[in-house]
Amino acid sequence: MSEQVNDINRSLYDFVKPEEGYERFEDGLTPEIVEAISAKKDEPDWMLELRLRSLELYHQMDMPANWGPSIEGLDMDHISTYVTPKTEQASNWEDVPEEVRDTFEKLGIPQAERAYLAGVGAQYDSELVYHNMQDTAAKMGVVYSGIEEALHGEYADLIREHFMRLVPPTDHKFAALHGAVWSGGSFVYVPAGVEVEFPLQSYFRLNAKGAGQFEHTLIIVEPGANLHFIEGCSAPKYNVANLHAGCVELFVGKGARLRYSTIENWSKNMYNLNTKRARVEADGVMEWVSGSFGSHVGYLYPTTILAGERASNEFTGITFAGATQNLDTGCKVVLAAPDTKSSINSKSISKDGGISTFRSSVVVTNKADRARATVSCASLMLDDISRSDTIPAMDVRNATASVGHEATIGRISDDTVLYLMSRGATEEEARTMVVNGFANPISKELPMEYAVEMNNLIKLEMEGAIG
Amino acid sequence: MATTTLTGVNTPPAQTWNYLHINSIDLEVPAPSGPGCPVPDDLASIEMGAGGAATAWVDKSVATRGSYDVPASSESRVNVSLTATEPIRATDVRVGADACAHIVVSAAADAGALAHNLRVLADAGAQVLIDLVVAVGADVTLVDNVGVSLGANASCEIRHFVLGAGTSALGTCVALDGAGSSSTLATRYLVDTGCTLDMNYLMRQRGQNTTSDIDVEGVLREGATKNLCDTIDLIHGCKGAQGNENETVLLAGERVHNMSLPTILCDEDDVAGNHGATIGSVSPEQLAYMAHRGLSEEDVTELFCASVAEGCVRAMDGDARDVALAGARAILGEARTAELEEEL
Repeated sequence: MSEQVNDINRSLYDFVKPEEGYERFEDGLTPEIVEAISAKKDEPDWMLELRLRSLELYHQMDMPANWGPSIEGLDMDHISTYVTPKTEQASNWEDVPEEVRDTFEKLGIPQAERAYLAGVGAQYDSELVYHNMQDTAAKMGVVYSGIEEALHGEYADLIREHFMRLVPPTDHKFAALHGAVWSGGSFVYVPAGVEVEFPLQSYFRLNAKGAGQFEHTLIIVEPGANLHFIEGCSAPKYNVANLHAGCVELFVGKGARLRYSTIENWSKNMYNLNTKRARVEADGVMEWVSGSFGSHVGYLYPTTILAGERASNEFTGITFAGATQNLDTGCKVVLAAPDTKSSINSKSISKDGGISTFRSSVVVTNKADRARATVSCASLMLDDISRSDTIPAMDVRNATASVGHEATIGRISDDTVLYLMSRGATEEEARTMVVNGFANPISKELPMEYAVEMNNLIKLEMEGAIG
Repeated sequence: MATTTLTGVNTPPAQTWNYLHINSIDLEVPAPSGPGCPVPDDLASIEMGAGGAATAWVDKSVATRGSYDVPASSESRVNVSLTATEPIRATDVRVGADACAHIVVSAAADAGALAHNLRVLADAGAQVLIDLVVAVGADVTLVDNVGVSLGANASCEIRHFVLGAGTSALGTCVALDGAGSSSTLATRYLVDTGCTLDMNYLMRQRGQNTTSDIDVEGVLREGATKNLCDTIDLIHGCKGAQGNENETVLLAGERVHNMSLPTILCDEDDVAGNHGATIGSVSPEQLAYMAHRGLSEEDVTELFCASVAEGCVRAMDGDARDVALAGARAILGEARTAELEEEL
């Protein structure tokens, strides 16, 4: 049977708001632009120094030549690193400018906040436009604010101790870029022993054309505390490149637990070079749940450093690479203490000429006695014009550690489809059922509403897959 | 003696983060002193596992090439010994349709650099068996560099045994160009203190309904280093192809360093690719079981080491068996080696 592939209907996300009255810095990267960004935020001197040093590093460093998708379509001379609507950050949706509020309402953010979130941060282009948290969380001492705001308050020293320490500007070229031009993002602090019952969410919307978003998320979960943080993102599609080079730094204290869930749905002109890293102390637990559906080119490898004894990491992720997409995603973990554990479970789907690469590394240091790590990767190819690669690296330096890895690549079995069709499903329904089942281990880790969104995204991607 | 540095030896087609230092190995080797011996035109396009730099170095370091033609429907055996007196060699083998060729390579020396380029062109229906025994001292640098091209329904079975590694780079590339061609590659190794074993195994599956299977097992003793990059490349057009990789590593000492990069590259949907890797030590439950039977953890490790050595000796014959026995002696001891010799 021949297969016809239709364009995906992404109208839910693919709308543009006019930029009338917006402030937009000129394209390119210069010290003057970096200083202007810093001046807008009235930052302490150390932050400006970090920015300027990062800019120098950015210009000195190269992208690796021997691995990863090409980013030759990204020209920083044609990217504006700072765009913002003329508005201050609000804590009430009524105070957010109408067209911006309308954007987030279309995306369901205020509704989600009302229904099941403890707090929301909404970023529009380069700045936070909305930030609010439930009183119940605030009364427990939880801090959830814009990071620039926190730089001027009682947590200024705490931020200085942690900012770009897990992901230093020297880490790679786009970490350096982030250090130079970062703007917006959230600071979360959960005091010791506090369990935040409902998730906090940040949503990032990049409306501007030919622009970049460089938000910085810093989360500190003190010993014994518990937090679920969700981030979502989207952008309308343009025929020029946009760039996302955000940074997430997570500090999980002794016996604490942090779950970080992401539904990434950038438009397919986006270059997504995001860096996420967590450090986990003794008995701490880090959980990543990741759904990558968007971007033209993606480099995304959430990393966990298990620094304390019995710390553990779990990564569950799915990547869906469709037409024009080249998504290089995966996970990294460093087991650096005794009795640490890690489990990585990743799925990928390739369709319509999409390229999906699973890239991982498991490093067991010589100090990681009795460490345990498993990596499981399954890839589904939906046609013969797509590509799927798995490149899992393991570096083990402790004889008492145990590391296991497995991976499979294949297509939907004809026998499975035939079986489902014999039970009354159409071929399209059968294939969609298989793909949903394939993605189920990831979607069941998300709160229901996000699982629904993820399933909707899969459905959108699968529509027209069978003609 | 003048030396030169070979960089990027054993680079796999898909690489990982550079800071992990898994992507390749650099080797210090004697600089070629003559013009070398050119590669025959019909073999020049065969992709070699150790990469361009190592391949060119070996071809430049030899004055003559061993050349063997196995006529259609016939059988032949080719023996190649790498020793201190003849350390660097290049061998070309053409295997005719439905012919069988058994190529046995042995490497034994206490010091110096040994190297071998082996190119094999196998016609339709040909069967090729390649055996390699490595029993070299800790001060030896070895490059074993193989490239095989298989026609329709041809098959290639490769067996590598490493009983003494020194600093060894084993690079093998099998091009399954013909429909229905198949290849297996089985490696058993024991890497001792201060030694390094670097392997780059690549199966390029172009033909339809091709099958490949890579199985690598071994023991790393205290202070040993091992790197395995194995790649199944399912190339567009190879409908019906299947590729499997499996690795088991026993970490048997302090300061071991194991690196693995089991890769599947897939550009076709109607294929199946699988890989698995298990890295660790003998489980506490198994050790407890053995302890009840009077065996210490050290005894258990020696049992695993012995299995590598005995397996190699039993699989070989002729000169290669002598090399295997010499390598086994250091592992099994005189008495057990003598018993083994007698059994065989």
